[in-house]
Amino acid sequence: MKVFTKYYAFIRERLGRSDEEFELEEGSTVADFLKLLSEKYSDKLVGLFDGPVLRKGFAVAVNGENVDMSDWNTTRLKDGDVVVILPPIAGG
Amino acid sequence: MEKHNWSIYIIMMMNTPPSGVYGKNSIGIEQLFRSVLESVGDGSAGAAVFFVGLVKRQGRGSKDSVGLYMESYEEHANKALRRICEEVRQEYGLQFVGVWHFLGSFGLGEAVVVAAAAGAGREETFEGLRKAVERYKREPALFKKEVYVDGTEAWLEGA
Repeated sequence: MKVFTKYYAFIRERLGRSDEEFELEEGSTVADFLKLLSEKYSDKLVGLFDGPVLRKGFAVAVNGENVDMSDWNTTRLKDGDVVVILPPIAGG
Repeated sequence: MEKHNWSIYIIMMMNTPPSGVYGKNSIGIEQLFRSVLESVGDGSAGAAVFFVGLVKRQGRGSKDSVGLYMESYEEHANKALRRICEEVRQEYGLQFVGVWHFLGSFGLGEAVVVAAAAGAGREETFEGLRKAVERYKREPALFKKEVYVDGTEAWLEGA
């Protein structure tokens, strides 16, 4: 299945792109997606991950809604989902 | 930044635009104030309170700022801002709560965000507006980069 991601703030700047498409196995979870991302960009996203786990202060949203960290291992993604890592939020 | 049909909101200016994120200069602040006042102008509201967030020179670090850049995951931010406004409106028994956050590059003194609340009495209206402001700083997917006098920049971690 295909899932899509968008990159924001310093993540977008470090990767030099605003979005990307990933091919994942059916039944993959949010945690599986994060592991894939951390492995692909282990050099460019230094400091974002501690192993495959996101550093404190970052969040994950699926289709515009936050997914609690405690649910990352059990939340299964569907074909077409948009998964976004949210850098620390700072409203104006 | 995600594509947005700003012309819709320009057309909507005679009515109060929904809470959410908008491109810089796509909403006139004076028109926004007027539309909010008109929306609660039936005599049932005794107070309308507005907050305007401005770009200030003193940034987070030791260096002065010359401006900032705001970007957003718009789907997330729009959902979050509308949820915040509705929850605060109900919690404080208000007639109206709105937050309009602008995106793009801003110079010192420019407005980055407008929040408004209206209700029967000033106490709950002030309190509700403050709650909405505290929440919009932490919940919607808004990301802020400060630009400093020495030409350096930094994404802020937390509001």
